[in-house]
Amino acid sequence: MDDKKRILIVDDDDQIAKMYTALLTIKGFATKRVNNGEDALAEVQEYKPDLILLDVMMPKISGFDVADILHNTIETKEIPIIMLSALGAKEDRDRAAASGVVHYYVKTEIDTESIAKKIDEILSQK
Amino acid sequence: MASNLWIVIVCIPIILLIGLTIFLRDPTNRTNRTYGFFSLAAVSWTLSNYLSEVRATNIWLLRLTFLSGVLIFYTVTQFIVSMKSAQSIKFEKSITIFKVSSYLVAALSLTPFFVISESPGNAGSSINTGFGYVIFLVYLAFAFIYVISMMIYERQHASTVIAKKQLSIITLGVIIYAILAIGANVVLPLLVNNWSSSNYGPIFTLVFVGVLAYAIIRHRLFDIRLVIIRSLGYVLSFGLIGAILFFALLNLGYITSKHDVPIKIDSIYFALLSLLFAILLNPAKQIFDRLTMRLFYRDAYKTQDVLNNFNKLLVSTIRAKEIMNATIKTLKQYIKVTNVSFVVHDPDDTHRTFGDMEEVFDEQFLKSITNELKGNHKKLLFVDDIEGITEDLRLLCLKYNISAFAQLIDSSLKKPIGVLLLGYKKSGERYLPQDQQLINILVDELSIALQNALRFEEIELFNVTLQAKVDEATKELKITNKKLKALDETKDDFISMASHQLRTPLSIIKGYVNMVVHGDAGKISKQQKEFLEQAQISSETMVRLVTELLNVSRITSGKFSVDSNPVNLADIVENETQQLTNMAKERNIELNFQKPKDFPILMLDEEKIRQVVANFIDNAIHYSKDKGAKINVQLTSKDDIIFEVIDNGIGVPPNEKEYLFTKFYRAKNAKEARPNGTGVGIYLAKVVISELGGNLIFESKEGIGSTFGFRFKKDKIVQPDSKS
Repeated sequence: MDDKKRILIVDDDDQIAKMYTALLTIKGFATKRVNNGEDALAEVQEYKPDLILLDVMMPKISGFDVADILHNTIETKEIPIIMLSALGAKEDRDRAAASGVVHYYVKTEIDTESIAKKIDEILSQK
Repeated sequence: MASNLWIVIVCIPIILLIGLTIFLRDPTNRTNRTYGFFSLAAVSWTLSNYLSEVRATNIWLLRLTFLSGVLIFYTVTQFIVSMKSAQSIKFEKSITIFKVSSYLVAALSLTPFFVISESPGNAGSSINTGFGYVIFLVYLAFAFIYVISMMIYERQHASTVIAKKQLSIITLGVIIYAILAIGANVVLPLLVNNWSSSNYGPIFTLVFVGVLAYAIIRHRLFDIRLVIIRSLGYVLSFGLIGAILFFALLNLGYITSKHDVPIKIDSIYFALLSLLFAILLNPAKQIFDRLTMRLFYRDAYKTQDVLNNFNKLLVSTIRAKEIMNATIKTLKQYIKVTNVSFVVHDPDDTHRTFGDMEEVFDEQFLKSITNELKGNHKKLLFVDDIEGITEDLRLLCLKYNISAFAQLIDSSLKKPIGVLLLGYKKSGERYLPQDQQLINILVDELSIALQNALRFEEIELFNVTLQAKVDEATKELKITNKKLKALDETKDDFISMASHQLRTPLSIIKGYVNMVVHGDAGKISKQQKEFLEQAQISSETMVRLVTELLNVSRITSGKFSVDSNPVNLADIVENETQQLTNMAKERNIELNFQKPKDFPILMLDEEKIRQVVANFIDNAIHYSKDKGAKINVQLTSKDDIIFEVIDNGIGVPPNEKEYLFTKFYRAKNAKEARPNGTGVGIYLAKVVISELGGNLIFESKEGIGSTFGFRFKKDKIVQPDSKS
């Protein structure tokens, strides 16, 4: 049996993080949560996730900056990132795309089942 | 005796001429008139004196002589009296007494009491006089003293320098004349009992006239200077030419100085010389005219020239100040007025002064002047000539050095515009008839110009006031506008913030409910699933609403944008229709949609166009009537891409159609049918469709139904067919 795939959840909102943790756990993933960008970067090195669920609006460093850094670091370049945003503006999407983020979703517009399905898709492609 | 005749022949014409000239110069003036009478009295005296000599036996001629003497005295005093300014009333009573006594003595002289007879003698005739003569002498003495003292008093109290000078000379003249005349005609005969000295009387008259002439020329008494000067020109030119001719004739030996030798003149030479005389006269006269004018009469001006210049100045401006300046300049330059001022009435009963009196004007003065002008018909009033002038006004005029004033009237409104105040002339002399005429014309012209200028000022002021008011109103509007904008921004910020804050908890609710419904938290009963699905629908609605509000605030703040991606519109419409079918069924509404085959893929913003489609169908459902509601959803791609939702619901009232697509607008009947609407749905639809480059489709009849939809040109198509 494969090890559970590891997903790093990066979100400063506790409620959101809790929900995604519950969802992904039920779906059979291993999860770890950090609540800010700095910790996220550190944790990526440590935890070595298979996928990162990244919130955009965070204090100190924003999700974009994290994505940028991850994209520009050789070890972390290949890790797929799903960005979750309360916004949905085009500039934000474009910016995310520039950092190599393929998947960008607005929190309220995507439901949990779809996210879970998507994650499956991505990880099965790897 | 021939010398006496010469005296008479020379004196009478001169006295008459000067007397007539002075009289005709200004017959209305008292001084001129009394001088005329004096001249008559003097001529009468000269004549009767001479004739009484020649016809010694005629008593009446003698009497006439003495009567004329009295008359001379009387007229001289009247002359002096007329010369005093209208101001002093000191001598009023005494003048009346003098008048009466003069009449009495004059009458007396014709009576036998005065002159009884005349007895011819060798060394001249002697006159026998009665006791009336004594009265006459007394009268003379008193008259003499009276006149002299009055003159001295007047001279002391003369208002101008020029008047003082005039009076000094005349006093001197009168004194000399009186002394000589009385001496020769009265005193000497009394002492020597010889009346021959009276023959020299006319000469003394001439002396008096000479003094007067001197006063005329040097100190411009009577202002007949111009006449004198012109005459001088004539006399000199005649004299010169005449003298030349005389000497020519003399040298040619045609005239001898012995009167018993007949004068022989060769007619040809005489004719030639006469011709020469005629030719030379005019040029000579012109030369002398110019010379004398330049020497004696520097103040002359041509009225027409002055008016032309003045008109030029008036025409060049519309400003009251400049018009008044032009008038002041003209008056000072040509008429040599010392001070000129204007008082202009402003509409609010205030006044403006302008000119030399600007600083020191007072209200009382203006009132007195205006009253005086009202009561008098003349346009131009001279202070010295106003009969019965009030003491107050007189004093005020004296204080401010005003010698004349004129009323300026608005010709159309017949209202007074203001007053022109004039001081004395620089030379101190009176205003000539020419001056008065000029001033009258100036007053007329400047009244018109001034009234125009004042009206122009009014209009300008009105404009300025209006502009100021408009500016103020605009400023206020701008402030209000700013406030409104700020308020609008605040509202939008609020919406934006609220939407954001609401989204997160919403998504969490959605998430958990979703998980439970899908059995991620364990198996659930059918009923549990049903209930949770209802909860999901509501939370979906909430999400939609929040998204809408967020989009609205984005539109306002300019952060709204649409994507362009290949979108299967047919699928979207099908989805939404399916999702809303249940809702429609519950309300007994027939919802129809025929999905077209091979509907092309279009470049649209999937999420936003989905909202539009959902919104239109949702509206159709909620605004349907209770019975027999039917909704047709159509999607075609024949010519253009057309999406329409056709209902038979409550429709839109005609007067509300134009507001329908504005932010937050809800029609009245819509509010009734669905109280909980946001008024945002079709506003967003309009913006989205417009941003995507399409056209809104909207038709409605109140109570019958509506059609909502959109149209895109075929350039939106990506692929000709859809791929399943």
